[in-house]
Amino acid sequence: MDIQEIKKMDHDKKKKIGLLMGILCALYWGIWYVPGYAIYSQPLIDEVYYNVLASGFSDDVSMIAQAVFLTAINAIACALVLFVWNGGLGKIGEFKRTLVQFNSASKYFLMAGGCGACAVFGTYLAALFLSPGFAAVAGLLYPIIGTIGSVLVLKQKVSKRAYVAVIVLLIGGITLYMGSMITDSSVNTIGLIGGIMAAVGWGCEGIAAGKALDLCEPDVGLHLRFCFEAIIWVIVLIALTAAGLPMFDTIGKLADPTTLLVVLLIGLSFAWCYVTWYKSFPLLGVARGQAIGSLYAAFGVIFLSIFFGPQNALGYDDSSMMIIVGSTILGLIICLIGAYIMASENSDDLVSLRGSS
Amino acid sequence: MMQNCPMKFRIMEFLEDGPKRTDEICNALSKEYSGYDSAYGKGVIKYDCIELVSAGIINEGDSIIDEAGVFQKGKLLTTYSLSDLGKQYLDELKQTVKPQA
Repeated sequence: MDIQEIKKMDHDKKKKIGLLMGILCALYWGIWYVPGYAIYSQPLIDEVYYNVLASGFSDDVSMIAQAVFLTAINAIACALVLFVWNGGLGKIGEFKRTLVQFNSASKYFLMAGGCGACAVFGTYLAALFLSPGFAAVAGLLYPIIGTIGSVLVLKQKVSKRAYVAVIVLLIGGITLYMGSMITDSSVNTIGLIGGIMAAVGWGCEGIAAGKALDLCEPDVGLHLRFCFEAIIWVIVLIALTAAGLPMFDTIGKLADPTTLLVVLLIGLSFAWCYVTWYKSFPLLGVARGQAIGSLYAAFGVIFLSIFFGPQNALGYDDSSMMIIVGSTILGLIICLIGAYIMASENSDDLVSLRGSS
Repeated sequence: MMQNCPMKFRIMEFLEDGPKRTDEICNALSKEYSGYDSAYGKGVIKYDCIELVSAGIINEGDSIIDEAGVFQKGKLLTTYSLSDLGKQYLDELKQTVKPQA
């Protein structure tokens, strides 16, 4: 075997690792929906709503406070899990080296943390005020912003095939939830704003992270991003408490083993989802990484159906079963076609995301 | 200037004075950074080089097979050089980086 063939095999391997990371990201993101759904029934989150309501605040404010608290718990759990992860990988030294270089490196992760905070909070708002299905669809639009940003800001090249795959994956993801959207067309302004926050937040996070990952380790970068997000949410929680909202009253419920397990599962699934998401960016580029990651919608449907039953996961009754189940199956098929188009791209196009000079 | 800075910063600076091969980069930097002087640590540095190529910051040159086992027996030893984008990034870093002891 000559050297060119071995190099070609090396490039193929790199592309396969990038795609594997993207698919694992979607898998963990889909799994995250299970503890993310289960946590609502835990007093840790459930009672925040009733405590704020009992303090004389409106129904909307109570639900927003609940979303803030849940997003903060999510970020703190991820930051803690990632300390264990990076400790195990021997990357705590690199974490410190990157943190102190604020102007050259960590400021981009602060931006990514801010955008991610906006996105996760927006997802919970959309899920609480409208439906989990709407939140998933709104979030699915983030690769559009990520793709535009990766081309215009990061100057990454995106092949025609990759553009087609991004579009097919988006259509597949939206089709997945189209049935639920048609049968439940309720409109809520806060929920719609949450949906926009999710799409814009994740898209912009990809751009900020993509810039920083040119020069930093992905494991370290995403850890910094979650630490910054956790700090942002702790400040917000303290500010809300100062404004009279009882934000910390349920914190003692964390001692309950079931609640602790659910929080741990949220931290593990979301942290690993991000580990693989950030690892896919340097190998595939932001546009491809985000598009493959959008398969989370398909995995989310599958895992929610397994753990909560198809009827609860998809939210159908006898009259809407055909349209919801039909659109879900059609969406899954379109997602598979999109993933195939992405996976069959020539690996030579991916040697360098910006071409060589 | 980039000593004890994030590893990718140092790899770029290390390549400033000319192209170098995988084993030269990994062996030199693994001794410079605490905790990297092992097969795992060198593998981490090699992976950083692969990501830098992907970002267009360094370019891949000629490769040979490591038949003598100077780094990883049977694997490719690739020569890397700083790209124009890498030079631009390095100039920017020199303006913004906080030198470490």
